[in-house]
Amino acid sequence: MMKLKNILYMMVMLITVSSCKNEQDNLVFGERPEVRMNEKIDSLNSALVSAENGWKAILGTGLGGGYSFYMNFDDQQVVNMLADLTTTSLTTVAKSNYRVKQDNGATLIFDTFNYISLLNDPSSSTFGGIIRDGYKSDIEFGFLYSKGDTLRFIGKRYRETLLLIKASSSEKNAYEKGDLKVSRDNTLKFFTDNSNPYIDVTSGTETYKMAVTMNLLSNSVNGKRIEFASLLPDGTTSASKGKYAFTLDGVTIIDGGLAYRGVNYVSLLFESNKMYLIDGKAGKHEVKNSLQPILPLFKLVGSKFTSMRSPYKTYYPGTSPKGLTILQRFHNGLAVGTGYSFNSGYMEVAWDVVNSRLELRGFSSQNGGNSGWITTIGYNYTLDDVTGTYKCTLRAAASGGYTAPILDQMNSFLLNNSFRLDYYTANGNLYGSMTSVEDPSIVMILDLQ
Amino acid sequence: MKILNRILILFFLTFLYSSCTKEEIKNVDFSKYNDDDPQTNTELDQWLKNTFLDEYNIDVVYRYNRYFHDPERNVTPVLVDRVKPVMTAVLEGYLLPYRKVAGETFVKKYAPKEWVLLGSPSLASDGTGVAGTAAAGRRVTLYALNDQSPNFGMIVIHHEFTHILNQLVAIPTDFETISKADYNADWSKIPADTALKYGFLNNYAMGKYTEDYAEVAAHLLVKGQAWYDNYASRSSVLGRSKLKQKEMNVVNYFTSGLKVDFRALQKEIQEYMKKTAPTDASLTLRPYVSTLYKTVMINLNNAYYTKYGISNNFSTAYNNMKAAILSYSPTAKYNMDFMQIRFDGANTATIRLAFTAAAGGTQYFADYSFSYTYNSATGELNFTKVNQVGTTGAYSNANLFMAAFKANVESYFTGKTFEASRLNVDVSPVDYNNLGAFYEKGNATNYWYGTLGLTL
Repeated sequence: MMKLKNILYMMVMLITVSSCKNEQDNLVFGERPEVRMNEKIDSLNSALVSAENGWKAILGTGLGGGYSFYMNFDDQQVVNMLADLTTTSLTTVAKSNYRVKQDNGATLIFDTFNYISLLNDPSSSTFGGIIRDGYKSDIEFGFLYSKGDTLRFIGKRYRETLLLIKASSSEKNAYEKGDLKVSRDNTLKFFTDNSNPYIDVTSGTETYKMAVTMNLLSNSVNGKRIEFASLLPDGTTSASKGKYAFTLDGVTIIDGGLAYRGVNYVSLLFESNKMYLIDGKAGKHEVKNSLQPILPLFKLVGSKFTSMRSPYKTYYPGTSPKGLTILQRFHNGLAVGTGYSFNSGYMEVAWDVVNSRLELRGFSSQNGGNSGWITTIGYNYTLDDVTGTYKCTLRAAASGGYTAPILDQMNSFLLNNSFRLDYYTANGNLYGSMTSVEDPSIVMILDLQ
Repeated sequence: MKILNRILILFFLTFLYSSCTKEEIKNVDFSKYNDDDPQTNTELDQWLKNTFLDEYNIDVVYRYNRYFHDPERNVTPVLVDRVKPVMTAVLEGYLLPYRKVAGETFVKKYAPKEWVLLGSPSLASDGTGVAGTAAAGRRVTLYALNDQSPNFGMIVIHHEFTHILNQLVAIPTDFETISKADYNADWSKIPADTALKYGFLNNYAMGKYTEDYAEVAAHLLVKGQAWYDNYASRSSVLGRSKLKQKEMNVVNYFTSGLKVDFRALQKEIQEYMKKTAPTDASLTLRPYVSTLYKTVMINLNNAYYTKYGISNNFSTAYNNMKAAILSYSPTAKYNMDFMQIRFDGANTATIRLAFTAAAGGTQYFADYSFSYTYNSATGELNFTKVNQVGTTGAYSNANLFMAAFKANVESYFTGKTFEASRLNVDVSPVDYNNLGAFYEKGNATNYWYGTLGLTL
């Protein structure tokens, strides 16, 4: 009996001791989660409010490119915003609410409508996003960490990064007097005026020209993209594409920049009417304009140029006698060769890169080109990516229009020759040349459309 | 035994210790819990609190929370500036009419307690969207408020509240049978004119009889009776009859089932709609006179003329005519029973006088032919007397009183412009939808009005 009592005592003691021990918080992170969460929410709130000059914000979108904002948070859950979305949003401050809440960590929510909501809007009529998903961009952002002057968030649903970087007082002034619009307009103008922008790169022993292509549209398809491309030593090309947003002095490439051939480029700087590409080591590369594109023509037909055209009775220098015969066969034939009398027309070769197809078109007109009829002949082609050599086979015989008889020589040229494309400049104008591989004495110089 | 004890102790020790170490669950201290309760104290917040929370125990949620919508879809927050206009519409177009007609207790008890406002519609990838939802009689979520007029939500609100009322008093079983064969779960692919033809207000109403019910109630309340009748008149014969059956069912449900006077409610909401959308012609009579409303019946013995009055000019013309008919035959002593304006063609009208001998018996008609012009945009109506289009029957009767007619009735109706409108006084709900008034242009003290009729 005594023994049993001992056991009982022992049990009671143990329970007491162990339950005591349980009461003491042996917490891995020092505090209870709700307390730590409160601290985090408070610290984030006070950080947001503490930036007296506001924040520069950079946000990527799932479908569109990058977007930049200027945000000012106050302690009444109100945020004032500028953004590089529309001409209005660049210069007119819009006011809305924000809050920070607990939702798998501290989460910043833009909880009444502002410019940032445009990227989230599911109606395509609002800002051109796709139905239901908008630009695949969030209005709720989970807080990741802060580092120096930067707060880093991640979109709750689409996982795109939102960066908030403390603005200086001069930046604040610049935003307030509309410099974001000035900067954006400068950039747009530069890349509209300079149709073949590139930089010269010297890296180790190699030097090359790198084309810098900007999609200046702000849409959900391919908008606000920057692309680098160049010719590799072996004759092939490579390209790399990133997203950008406008800043006060140019453009920032989002998500840490865009790496290309071993160099990470982070931004574009517009300075004294010149544009510079800035790399991660603060190297400045002036963006120059080339008369002819940096990439070989066969890389650009179907995208930058949709077709090559021979305008009515126009023969450019550089066209060889044999080439001239083919072109003249068409143009001279318009008046007499078809059974009808035409006084204008053109012949062109158009590319459909996706399907590897060519189309030869002969347009004929009886009113000087205002209206008329088109005859088309379809081809499938194979392209040797290294040499840029095309080889065609017939896909669809001539149909429509009246020019089939006078397209005969061009048709037989396309079917019986492999050919290459190249640029040709004359009198400061850029043309494309089409040269037979088998008989290099057949050269035609054509308009690039 | 000792060994056994030791083993026992060891066992307990191990057991207790191990259970201790597993006991790592830390209870959350809810007094320190991170509530998500966004509260600012702006003028708007004060207004919402005073107007909705304190008065109706209604919480208006305008700060975005993903919890309130389908998480698969993007739905943007509402613009702050849109909150007050929208909630003013909710107050004046929904809460106050119900409060006046159904009573304070009713509206405070049954009005949904949580109103969630969102800026964009909730769209599926095929583009079909949600404009509003009601959940469990407790929450109403309104979408697409950023780019719609504040009254945009009115149909949705009344639609959703009808669902809530349907949970108090079930939809009468005979409602479903009206269109039972035509409900189709794949409603979104049905074109609008098909829905019309089969007697539905839109394709959404074709989805399910509960939606059909809510749409009928909401459209009658918000769009108004004239709009509803006009819509029904464009349907097939069968569709029209179904729409009218549905109307009867809904009116009866409110009035008998819920003890809410539907016609009074309809009038209150119509008055609100007219006040806030003065340019919306569909809320007036103008688009409907002569095309939908083909007759106006005037009988000054009707009680409503005592209630709402009648202009002297008209009553003089009417009573003189009546006296002339009475004096026509000292033996028969014909009594003029009523006067009826009949828009029997696109530009031909008839003014019909009905009369019966004092001894009773057959009611006779005297028909007088007119032409008219009517402008449905401005509501302007002009009559011109034309030659009688017939010589026998009612036209022959007309000749009996022709001189008196010319002197009194014809001279009253011709040579001036009348403007179609609702009667310019506070009309009882029972008469509200039925009366059409015509005021002389530039002289509003001269007017005539009567009961509108849909058929000749």
